[in-house]
Amino acid sequence: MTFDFINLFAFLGAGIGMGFGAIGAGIGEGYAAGKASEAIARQPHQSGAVVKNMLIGQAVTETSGIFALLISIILLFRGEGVNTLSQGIAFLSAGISIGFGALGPGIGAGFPAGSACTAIARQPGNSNLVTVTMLIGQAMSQAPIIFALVVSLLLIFLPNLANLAPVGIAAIAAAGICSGFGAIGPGIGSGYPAASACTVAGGFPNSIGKARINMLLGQSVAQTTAIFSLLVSLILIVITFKGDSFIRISAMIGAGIAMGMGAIGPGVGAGMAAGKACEGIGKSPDSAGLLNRTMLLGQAVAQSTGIYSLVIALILIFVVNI
Amino acid sequence: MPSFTPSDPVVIDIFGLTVFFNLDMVIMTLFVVVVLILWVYLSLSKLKTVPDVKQGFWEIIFDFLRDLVTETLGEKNIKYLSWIGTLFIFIFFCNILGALPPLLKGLGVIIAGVQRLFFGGIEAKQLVGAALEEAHKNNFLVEYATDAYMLVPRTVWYATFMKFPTFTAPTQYLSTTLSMGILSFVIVQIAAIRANGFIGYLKTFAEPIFFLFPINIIGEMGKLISHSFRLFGNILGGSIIIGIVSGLLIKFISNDFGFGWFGSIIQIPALILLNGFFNIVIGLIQAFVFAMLAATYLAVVIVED
Repeated sequence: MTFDFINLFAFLGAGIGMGFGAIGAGIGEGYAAGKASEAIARQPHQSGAVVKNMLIGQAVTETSGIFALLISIILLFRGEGVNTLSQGIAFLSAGISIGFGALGPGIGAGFPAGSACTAIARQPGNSNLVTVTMLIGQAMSQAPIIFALVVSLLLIFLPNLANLAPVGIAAIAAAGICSGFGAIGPGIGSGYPAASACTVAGGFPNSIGKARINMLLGQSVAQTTAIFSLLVSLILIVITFKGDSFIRISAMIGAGIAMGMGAIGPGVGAGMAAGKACEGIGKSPDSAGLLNRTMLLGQAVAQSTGIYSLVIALILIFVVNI
Repeated sequence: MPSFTPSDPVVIDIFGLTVFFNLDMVIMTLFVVVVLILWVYLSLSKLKTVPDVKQGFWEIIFDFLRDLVTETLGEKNIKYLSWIGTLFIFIFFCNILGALPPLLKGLGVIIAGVQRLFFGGIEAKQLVGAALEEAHKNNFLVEYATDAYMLVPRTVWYATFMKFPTFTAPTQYLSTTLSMGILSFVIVQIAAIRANGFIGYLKTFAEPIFFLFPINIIGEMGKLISHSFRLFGNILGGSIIIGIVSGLLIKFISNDFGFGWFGSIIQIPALILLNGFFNIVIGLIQAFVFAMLAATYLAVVIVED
């Protein structure tokens, strides 16, 4: 009797993907709706503009949930496949990647939607500027979930993952953990500067150009650890690891955990730094250059722990050879 | 096969050293360079006091970039404008090159359909379905340029390069982004040595305490890695998603659910939407971020106030 590996792990992966993937978008959308209610209570006659902005913001926030749904549906309705443990773990890993990866960007994209509603209630005249800023910020903050989606799709569709040695199986399991958890922190972190930029667009429309540049810089630096996670995941997927040494199996899983968990803190922290810098540029646009440099220095220090994680992950993958 | 491994590398032996050339990347990069040089030469060779449309387009871009560099690096470092500006313009045009194949493919499918409706006896839906399936079979990421019905572009390219280039954005290969990242890194280090002197430059790595020296060097390398992989990851991610989603659309629409030719037509707006977001919007943002980060890394080193 052969054991039905692929259905077992694909259904498990679909459940994990949709279950965890629904958390972030739900929180983010609820946050936006709460801020919208608060804004309408302050300015009841602006309710039309606020509700319109809330719905647009929620639609973009939903993106991460929709990506999780897409992967879960692919896992449920994929065609016939090779029935091996290796293929099954690849499906499970794809579910883990998209499920945990959708957590952060969903929450993060809710922040700008919320502060855009507040900003529109305060300064209804600038509502178009606020909505455009919110959309740019939200589109940028989806980058971590796009990385997680890429890793999931590769895990599902790459044909050579079906017959791997035990170390290779551990490597693809670690790839899902790494990219999934690695997207949480950068996703939440990129929400802070976007939210500040929306506040600036409402309150200080003259300095929005400089604030938007700072927002883009801050968000992309806050996503550095997500990029490290993508790098480690791609290495784990693309290189075919051979052998069945128990120590190398644990080293692979360890590498995934090191980079995945290590990416959470620096992402959130660098995002907070960027958020405050963006607020500062709104108040004093003349010192934008100085604030950009200070932000970059601070973020570089905040990210040093993420770089240690990358170094340890690479050592675990390539140097441990017992 | 994922698209980050070049589809058909050219192998050359140089003194016993095997070197792989990614021909797709080289051809596409040269294509962008030649088009940009010709375009700029033709629009700016005769400068006018009152600009016409061609000149005005480049003047707007120049003004935007000059303001950005002056604000970030200061008036006296305006010489870096040529570096930062080139980065932005080159990367942006590299990124939007990825949007070209789906447009050509859409055109090819329409032309093929019309052609066969009038001249062949086959029904349009069978034909389009067959063309798309053929394209899907070749590679699990749909290769647009090898589409059987793209006669004109295919012939021109074949005559020119004796090979089908796959019309990919050069920035989705690590060799492009990493070389630009390394160049930017080297420029920053040289500027730092000029500003502080060599001893002072080494001292900046020993801050705050001397035994942090190796960790500071790793941190500097981390900047290089994140700078190049940010562009690479975003553009590669977009192209993988576009490839897989259009493959799924073909699979779901053309046979499984029986939407027939209507499904094939749905594919065109879907491709335009996906490419518009991933290649044009993300491409613009990432080109800007790459150039702006190169400027800000420089500013951290050379600007004093």
